[in-house]
Amino acid sequence: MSGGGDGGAELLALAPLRSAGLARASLALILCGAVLCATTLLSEGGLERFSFAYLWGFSFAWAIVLGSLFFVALQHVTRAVWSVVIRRVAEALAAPAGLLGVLFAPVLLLLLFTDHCAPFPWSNADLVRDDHVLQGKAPYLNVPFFVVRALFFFACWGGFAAFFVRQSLKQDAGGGAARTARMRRVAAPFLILFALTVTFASFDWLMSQDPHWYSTMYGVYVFAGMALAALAAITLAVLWLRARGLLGQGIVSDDHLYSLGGLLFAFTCFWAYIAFSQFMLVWYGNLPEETVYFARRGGAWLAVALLLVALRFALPFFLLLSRDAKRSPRRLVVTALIVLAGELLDLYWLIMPQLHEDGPRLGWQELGPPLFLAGALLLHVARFLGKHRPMAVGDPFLSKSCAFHL
Amino acid sequence: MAEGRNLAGVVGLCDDVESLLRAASAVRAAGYREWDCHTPYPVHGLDRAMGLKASPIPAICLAAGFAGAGVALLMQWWMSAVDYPVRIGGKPLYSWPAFVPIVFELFVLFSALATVCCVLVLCRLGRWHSPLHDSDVMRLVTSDRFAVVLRQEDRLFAEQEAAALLARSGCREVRPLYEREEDGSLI
Amino acid sequence: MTPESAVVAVSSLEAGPLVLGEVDFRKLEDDINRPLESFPTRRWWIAISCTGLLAALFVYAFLHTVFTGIGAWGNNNPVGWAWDITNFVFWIGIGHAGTLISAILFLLRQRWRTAIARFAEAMTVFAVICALQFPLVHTGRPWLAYWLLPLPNANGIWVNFRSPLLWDVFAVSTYGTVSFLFWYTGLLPDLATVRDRARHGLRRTIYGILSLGWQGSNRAWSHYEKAYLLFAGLSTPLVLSVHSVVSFDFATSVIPGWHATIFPPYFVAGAIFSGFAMVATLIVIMRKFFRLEHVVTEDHLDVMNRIIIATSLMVGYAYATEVFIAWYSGAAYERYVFVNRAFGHYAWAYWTMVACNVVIPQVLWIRKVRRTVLLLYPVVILVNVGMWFERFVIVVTSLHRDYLPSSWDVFSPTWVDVSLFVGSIGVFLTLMLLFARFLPAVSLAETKAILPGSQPRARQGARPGGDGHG
Repeated sequence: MSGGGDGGAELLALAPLRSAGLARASLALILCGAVLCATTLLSEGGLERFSFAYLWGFSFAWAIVLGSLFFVALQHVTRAVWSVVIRRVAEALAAPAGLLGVLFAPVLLLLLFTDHCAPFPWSNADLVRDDHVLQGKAPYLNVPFFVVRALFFFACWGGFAAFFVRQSLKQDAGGGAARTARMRRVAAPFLILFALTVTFASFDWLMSQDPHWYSTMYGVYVFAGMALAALAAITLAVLWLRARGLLGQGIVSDDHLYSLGGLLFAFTCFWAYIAFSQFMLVWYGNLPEETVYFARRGGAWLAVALLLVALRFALPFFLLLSRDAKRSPRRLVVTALIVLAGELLDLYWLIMPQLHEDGPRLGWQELGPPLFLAGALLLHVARFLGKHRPMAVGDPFLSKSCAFHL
Repeated sequence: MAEGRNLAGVVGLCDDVESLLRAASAVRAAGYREWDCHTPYPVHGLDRAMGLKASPIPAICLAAGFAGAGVALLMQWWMSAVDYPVRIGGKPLYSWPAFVPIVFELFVLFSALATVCCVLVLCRLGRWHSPLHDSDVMRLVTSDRFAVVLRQEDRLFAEQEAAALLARSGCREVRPLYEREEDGSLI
Repeated sequence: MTPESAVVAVSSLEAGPLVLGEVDFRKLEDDINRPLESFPTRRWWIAISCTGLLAALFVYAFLHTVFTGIGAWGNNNPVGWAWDITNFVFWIGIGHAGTLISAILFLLRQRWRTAIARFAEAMTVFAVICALQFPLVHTGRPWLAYWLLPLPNANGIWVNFRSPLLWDVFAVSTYGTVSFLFWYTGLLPDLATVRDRARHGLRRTIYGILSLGWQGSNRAWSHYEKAYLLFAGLSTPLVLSVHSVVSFDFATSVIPGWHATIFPPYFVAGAIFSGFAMVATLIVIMRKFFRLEHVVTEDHLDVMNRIIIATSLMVGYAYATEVFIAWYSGAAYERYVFVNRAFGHYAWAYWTMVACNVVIPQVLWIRKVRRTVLLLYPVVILVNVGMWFERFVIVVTSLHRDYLPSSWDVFSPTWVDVSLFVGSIGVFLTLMLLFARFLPAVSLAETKAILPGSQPRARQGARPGGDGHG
């Protein structure tokens, strides 16, 4: 327990976030978003635009929350020590997993109570009647099964997120080692379930918007983006809390930041690898039923695709290439913001061409749902951080983690 | 001393890394330039104690990598789209997605080769003679001892003072270092 | 919970020591150098005689193919690729664990890797050598293999850069070169140690030359460590790219069962899976015969087996995704390929693959199995078998049912196919035995650096380990 003497007292003194500003800002976002949503819904053809935009905003929130949950489970399964000091921040971002289920309600309601939900052509009975491909997929792509699957996904994520967060919070009060052992045991089976649920959720919610198209890589592609977005969000949250002095003095060191920066860099490369492989194989095979996807996302959407390459790969790659960059807070903040923008753009590029085939459009109708959902997420995180310590002070490896060096 | 042997410097031997670091800091503080430490494995913190500058290898490696990538792109463009344009598989002559794999491979190949060349040059490899061999110190420092060597080329070097400095700063054993005159053998 | 029991519980969560028992530098050196410095045992002679015989069989089958032609193999039309490419992918995959252990685990600061890194790197180099033989012999005229390179020639033509087979030439040759350089760079300090331990003049000269005059100077270490880190950084994406490029050989085509976008990461995961199984297969024998159980401990076997489960699950994920998407695609050809794999002529191969790669490795969830040599051994052997079958299933089942039913056929291997494959195992094992005989199979310098007391304790003001590591 080197450095545990005075360091221990400092750790126990760590207090929850006391800031009404964050909660107020998120309430403002929610209000703003809700007003925009309502106006969109009341306008001509608003339901269609609303449903696409809602799916866009939801996927973004989903990526951050589920990616953080993945991060937490990954730390347990690899028995990582370095990350103990920042794991609570990831837990705060993973905690809204249950809330996601509530936020998905509008999509399910549209599917269940209107004749069809616009982003999902397979839910339109008239369309399926004349399309033998969609008839073939009907055993999978139908409304009741879709709803059941979605409920299962949310139950699964919500349940496991609650487990990891609650165990970690209870650990603050004591019983360290036993709880750590329990979380490690659960983490491995959870990651299997995570891989399957995220894959099928990405097929359901994103891939099936173009119901003829298919790609075996799709789940991995969505996961790569998700992990990146979550890492960026965690990095931002850690740096913000650290700058406000909530994470103690010098506990989250350069070497912790370096590890976060290294992961951000690694996943940037991973995303590029997956995205390129998927694109290149479809381009090379040149089968009409596959190339149509990228044809629609090139052409009038080419500018967005190129911007995506810049935001998702080129900029983060070069910004984080050097060793010093990965431990510079300023550089990390800039990169994390770019990466988050990249995730938003990526989802926009995946979803919106189905609605606006003739080129990207971004009006106030598109902004309502993302603002509302971001606000809801932020409010949940702010309340979590306002109630609980920002560091897992009961973790038996915390003092080792504080002393972590490369 | 015996025939055919010249004084090459002074060596101080340490048994543990703590005293090695102490000795290295002391030698550095005394202002020596022509000196080195010899260890069986890389010792953390020794670079700092010796005041070594960061290695230039990463920059060279990166530059070589981008050169390799550039060469690969130009080569593929010139060979498939300019010098010998043949349409294959309905692909455009300049089909960048098909060129990416080789661009990447040559990036890695060039930077790896550059790194190896840097190691050969900067680590001064390929010199098989050393006073450490001649004075029977090498077999200690490639096994379990740590040595600080002050060479006689240094402008501050004087055998007595150098030996005293090493003895004072924590070396267990201090010896003069001799070099055999060239006898034509490789090793 | 009482404080004492809490302490006990925490220590049970922590990893064990990296090297067991009372070991100082001298003892470690003696242990690791023992095989190099004693006269080969009878067991070693017996082993190398057997593997040498197999290697001779390989040479014979190779020459037979060259003099007879590819017709000596069972390949036919439409199965134009069969065991040759299966073996090629198999061996390349074996090599990947070496790079993973030496590079990726190095970047992830997994210190347990030191015990097995050298061995695994050697495996990589030898596996790539074995892999190269197959495309080489499949060219029919191996002495013209340089035609694969973009060299100026009298006809004024260039190679086709849009062909994934050419990407393979670049990827595999880069991989072989970089793996060798990485391995050899890592060997330099140890070769110097072997040189200085040598009693015989000739031995001293040979190892002296091989060590390139390494002196253990810290000015050299400083550059050396940086270079080593860079090698690790370069090898990590390289290893991903190599097996991805191998997968492109298949996936860029429009053959059902080959044209799947998930192929690149799926092949990489499979490669690491098979490679780790091979490392475990060989290192279990090595630690036993060279009495290195305190250096390659049960903890090492445990971690390797955890990685085997993880990659097994990834491979299983890819199998499942492929089957699901084949159905979901609605394409009749896609669906047929997977029905044919599971229930057609080669169903036995398909189910061998699923059993060995996905089902059986699940017993490694049990801690006792992961740590007991006799229990884990059958599992890793079966993984080797299963991964060979995976490549066989991918290559042959997709080809033997062409788009035209009139050209459908089945493939059966000839004795030349079998001899080339079995012989290549002999070549590989012979090289491994020679390696274990003449070079330190565990990195001396790196293992010394992780022994207790080998590094300075953290001091005020100085950040330990700041230089050269990261």
